[in-house]
Order: sequence, then C-alpha cells, then structure tokens
Amino acid sequence: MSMLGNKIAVLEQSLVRVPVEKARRLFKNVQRSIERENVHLKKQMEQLIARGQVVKLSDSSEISGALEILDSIIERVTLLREKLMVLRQDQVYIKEILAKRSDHIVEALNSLSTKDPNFAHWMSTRLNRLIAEYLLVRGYLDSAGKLVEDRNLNGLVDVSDIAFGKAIEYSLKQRRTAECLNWCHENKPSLKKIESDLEFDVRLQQYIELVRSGDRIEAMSYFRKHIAGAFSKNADQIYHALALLAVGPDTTIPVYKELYSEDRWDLLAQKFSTVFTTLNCMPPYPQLLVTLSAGLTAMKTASCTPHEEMQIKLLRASNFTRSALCPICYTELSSASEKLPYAHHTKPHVEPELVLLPNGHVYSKPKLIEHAKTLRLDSDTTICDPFTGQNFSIASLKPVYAT
Amino acid sequence: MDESLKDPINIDPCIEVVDDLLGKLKTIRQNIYSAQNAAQAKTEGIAQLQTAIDDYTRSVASAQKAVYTGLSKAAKSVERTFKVDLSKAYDPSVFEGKLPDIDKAVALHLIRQGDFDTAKILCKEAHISIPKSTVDSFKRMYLIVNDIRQHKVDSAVEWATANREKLQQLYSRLEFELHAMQFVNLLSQPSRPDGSEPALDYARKNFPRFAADCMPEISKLTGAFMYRSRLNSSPYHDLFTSEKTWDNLEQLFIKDFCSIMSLTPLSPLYVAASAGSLALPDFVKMSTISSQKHAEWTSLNEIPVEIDLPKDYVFHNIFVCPVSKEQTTARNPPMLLPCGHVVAKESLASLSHNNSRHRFKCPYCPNECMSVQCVRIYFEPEDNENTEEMDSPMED
Repeated sequence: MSMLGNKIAVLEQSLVRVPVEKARRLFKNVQRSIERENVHLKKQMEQLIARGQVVKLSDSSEISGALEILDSIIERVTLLREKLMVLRQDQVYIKEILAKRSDHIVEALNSLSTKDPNFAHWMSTRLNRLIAEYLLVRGYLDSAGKLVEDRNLNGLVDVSDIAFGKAIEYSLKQRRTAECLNWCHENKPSLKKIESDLEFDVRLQQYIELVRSGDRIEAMSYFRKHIAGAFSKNADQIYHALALLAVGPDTTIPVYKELYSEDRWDLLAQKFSTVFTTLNCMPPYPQLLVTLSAGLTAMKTASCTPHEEMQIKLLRASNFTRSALCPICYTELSSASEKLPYAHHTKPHVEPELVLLPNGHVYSKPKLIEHAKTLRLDSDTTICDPFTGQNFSIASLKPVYAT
Repeated sequence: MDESLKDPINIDPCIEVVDDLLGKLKTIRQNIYSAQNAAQAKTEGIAQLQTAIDDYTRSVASAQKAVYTGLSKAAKSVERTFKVDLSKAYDPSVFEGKLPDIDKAVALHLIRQGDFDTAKILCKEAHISIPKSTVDSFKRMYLIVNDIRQHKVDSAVEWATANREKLQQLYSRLEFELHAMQFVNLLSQPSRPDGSEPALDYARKNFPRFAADCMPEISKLTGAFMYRSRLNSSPYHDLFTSEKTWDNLEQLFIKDFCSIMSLTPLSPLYVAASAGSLALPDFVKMSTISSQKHAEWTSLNEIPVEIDLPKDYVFHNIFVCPVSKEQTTARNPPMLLPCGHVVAKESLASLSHNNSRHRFKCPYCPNECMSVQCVRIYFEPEDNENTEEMDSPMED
C-alpha cells in the first residue's frame, strides 16, 4: 500500500458503507423472522403438551390431533427456511458488489503516483462512477443507466437504491403520499431510531390537502386517525392544523398561509430525500460535487478568468504557460467555479531565469532561446514572444528576480 | 481493505440450524405416524419434540450471535477505515444555482470521452443544448483516433492537410509526424514491378515541404530505407517496432485536434476531479482544524492552508508579493523595480508613500528607486496595451 493510495482510498467510503448497512438490515430481517417463529413454536408446543395432559380421546384421534399440530409446525418452519433462502440471495449479492468494490479500492491503494497507470485507470473509473451517482441524484435516471451499462459500472453504483428513493421523492413532488407512507411503514423502527418525524409531516400534508379540498368531515376523521396521536410531540403544529378548518386557503395570516403553501410539497420531498440517504448510509451530497469543489478550489488562483478569446494564443504559448489548460479559466467549468474560494500560496510558482520583454511579458530565458531556435531565428540576437508573435532583440531583455 | 469488509454477513449457520430442526421434526412425525402404541408414541413424540425445539432455540441463538459478531466486526472496520466525514469539506452554497452549468460540463465530458449516446440522453433529460458541430467534431476525432490505433494514418493526414495553416500557428509538427509514420509503414512494402519504391515515392512527394524545419528527421528516415530488408536489426528499428510511437502520435493528434477547436486536450472535468481526489483529504483535515479553532476562511475568499498538488495540476504562474504576502491580481498587479525585484502595486504604493517621486529602498536589495521608474509586468501573457497594436507576423 502506498501513501498516495492510503490517502485517496478514504474517499471511497460510501462504496463500502452502503452495502455494509444493507448487510445490517438483512440481519435484522433474519432476526425478526426467527424471533417470530420462536414465539410461535413455543405457543404450539405448549398447546401440544396441554392437549397431551388434559384431553383423553381415542388413540386414533389422539394421534391425528398431534400430527395436525406437528404438520402445521413443519409447514411454518419450512416457510421460515424459504424466507431465509431468499435473504441468502441478498447476501450473495452484497458479497458480489463488495468484492467488485474492493477491487476498485485496491487499485487506488496500489497507485504509487499520479503518473501510475493504476491511478489513471482508477481515476477514470471513479469519475464515471461519480458522474453516474450525480446523474441519479439529479434525477437523470436514463443517462445514468446508460453510462453504468456502457462503462461496466454495475455493482459500483447503487443505481436501484438511489432510483428507488428518487421515485418516492418524485411522487411527493407530484402530490402523492402513498409511496412515501408505505416506505415509512417499512422503515418504522429505523425512523424511530433517528427520531424522524417524516411520517407526521406527510400525514399533516395529506390532512391539509383534505381541508383544502373542502371535505371537512373526511379531514376530521383523517386527523383523528393519523395526527391526533402525535400530539405530545407536535402540539403547536397540531393546534395550527386544527385551526385550519376555520381558515380558508386564501388566508393572509402567515402561520396558516404557510401551512397552505404549495412549496411544502417540495420541502417534503427534500426532507424525504435527506432521511432516505441517511438511513441508507449514502453521502449527503453527490460525491462529484464534493470532489469538484475541492479540486477546483485547490487549482483556483486569484487571477483565474475566462479567456476564451486568448485561448488559441495561449495554446500557442503552452510551453511557457499552462494557463490555456486551466480548468477554471476554461469555459466548461468557469461559471461553475465562480463562487469558490481560491487556493492559498505562500511562495511564488514561477519559472527560473525570468526576463522581461519590452511588451511587459515575462518568460523563462532558456525557453525563449529554445523557442527561437525552433523558429529558425538567430537565437544569439533575436527571440520571439510565443503569445503575440512579436520579435525582440536579446539586448532589450531585462532580468526579473521573482523567486 | 480489511477482510471482514469483504464478507460482512453469513447467515448460512442460521439456515443449517433450521434445516436440522426440519429434519428432526420430520423424523418425529414419521415415528408417531408409524407407531404401534399410539399413547406411548405420542408421549415420546412430545418429549422428543420438546428436546428438538429446545436444541433449536439454543443453536439458532448462538448462530445469530455468530452472524452478529461478523457484522459488528465489519461495522467497526468501516468506522475505523473511514472515520473522516467527507461532507465536512464541502459547502453546498458554492455551487448554488450552478448545477445546470455542471450538468453541461458533464455532458461535454461524456462527449469528450466518446459516450455520445449517454450524452444525447442527458441533453434531453437536463434540457441542455450542445452545438451539433462540437459533437460531430468529437465523433470525427474518434474515427481518426481509431484509425491511428489500427496504424492507419490516411484520415489523420487528410485532416492535418486541411488544417495546415492553423497547425502552423500552433507550431505543431503533427503533419510531418504523420507523413513520417506513413513512410515507415510503406518501408515494409516491396518494390513495385516497375522497380519503383512506394516509400521513396512517398518521401519525394511529401517530405520537401518540411525540409526547412525537419531536415535531421528526414535524413534519419531516408537513411532507414537502406536497411529496409532487415529493419528490425538495424539502427533504425525503434522507428518501426515501438508501440509507444503510435501512442505518442495519438496523443499529439488529440492535443492538436482539440487545440484547433479551441478546446483543452484534457477534459476539465477530469482534471478537476483528479485534483479533487488528491486534495480532498487535505480539505477534510483543514475543515476539522478550522471548525475546532472557529477560524473562518479569510475575507479575501482564500482558503487558509496551502494545498500541495503535483505539478500537472498547476496551471498558472503565481506571484506572491514579498511585502504583502498576497497573490498579485489584475487589480493589484506585479510591478518591476529597476533592480529586477518585483512587488505588488499596493505594496509599491505604501513603500513610496503614494508619491511617485519618493525614493525608497527595495525590500530585497540595497538599491533605491522611485515608483515612477517601476513598470507593470505580466507573469502570464495576455493582450495588453503593449501587445495589442503590433501583432506582427511570425516569419521575417
């Protein structure tokens, strides 16, 4: 393992966190199934013993009664076994993706330097993976799917999980609550553990919609069934919700106006998304954005500006300055980099043996001479500004001490 | 990576225990079913059943415990390996309102790496429009690159000839390199029935144009002709056998092709993501320290620590004023003192007490000067008043 590898492997945590969390849930599922069956077995056993002691029947009915209970036990244990076998398939899947992901991480661990082919290969896979994740989070499911398929990223991106969450988020934006409530039901213990009031919020919204539609009786009945129970925790909101029955949707009172606001659906969708990523141990922000923000900031200088018009001249001078290649100055990302801070430098990063040309440009003298030679100039007397194409006599150059 | 992470869960022991119970239950059932003495069979059966279930309850508990131990080992390993919280190093407000820009950068990146179908779908999903000409250019580039990978240069030569002038402006040697490669390709062909040599004919036709710039290379290439029949053992074998030459040619072609489209040869998204992957651990560290010290980023919108990136990721000549310790900018540009030392304009103003005729000592050396003697200089070339009007031609 290399230093560089160790440093960058830390970045891949969501690759491991998500499947390990899946394994944890799978185990909870196993536990629950076994526990349920244990309780039942105990009950059946008691029944059987009770029968054996109390009831005195003829031999044959005695036997058939016992066999009946035994058969039902066998049937249920068989069902338990089937259930465990289904869960075992999930286990196989978790192992498969972890194996693939660990190969990917090992590639990073083995990279000795940024020039290492391991690094380049890891980096390009990583970037495609981050792009796929970003596209999924943005809701561009089709392009994400295509990228995963074409670049063989299966197992490296939690496509179905993210897409599943997106579908529920989308249903909330479409003003539908059934999908989200169903999910809340399935994840009740986990939601309770993180003390999330997502379900309450969704129920409240459903109630608000009933009030909005004018169906007060239905609204009241919904209120009693689903909202009143949460009184101890959400007293204020519940008072306001009740008062809503008396205040129409065209109200100007801020509290009620807020409750009637259509924006609540988007906030609800957002809240669901946050809870969903937390429960699944997914990163709170797409890793592409986190990575780009760090990378662009580290490269950004105080003088980075878009230089579209100068691009060709700068490319011509690319032996002298690499600024034509700067990702921040270049159009594709320059606008996205606007709000980023720039990197801190305590010392200059300039070339040695600098000279000043009469036009104000500063270049490395050895490079100017080399450049003059490739242009077939008399490099003893004349040099050429690679950017402007102006020729100058060597006598006109002044030394610059900038380091 | 920790081994426990590769295999965090194994529920097979639980399944074995259930299987075992099932087997026993079936045996008990069989015993009762086929017993002669019903009452005895039943009593025995119940006793056996009780034992079987007790056994099962015990073993299934210990099997679950074993699964749990493995799982918590994995969970601990995750916490140990990945204790840093990456999201701490990210402030989502920096990209606020910029996500459409990033969508577009992603689409362009996909086009650059040849994922044309994915890019097309994305453009539709994200309502992005990318000029058809850009897409077509990259499609053409990939066609030519594929030819080069198959050691065919005709399509590249055709492109280079059509763009000769622009390539010359870039001081590019691509066209010559392509002809050289074609010549080497032709060396392996036998002479024609009429005695003429395809390679020599090609050289006569195409090399003279480059005589002024590339004479040494041309001599070397034509020299190789002498050894045509046994090139592999000749001093010229590296011209011929090296796969690396082809790789270099491919890189050169991509670089020039992108340059002529005014595009950077490496995808900016790729560069930024690699730099980010290298820099992120430092950012995490920085955010941890600054949150402990309650220190904010400086008012200059500059991060508080220096992040060391490999040279490939440094794109600008950066000058830091020795007096103010600040990077120079267009508003506070570098100024050259007559002695050859450089300070920022604002520092110059304070050194000279805002008086252009005030004599002051250079912060570096004993020389004295006045600010009126100092000149604005450019560590990075740009269009300025001294360069604009006299854009003279290259050749004399």
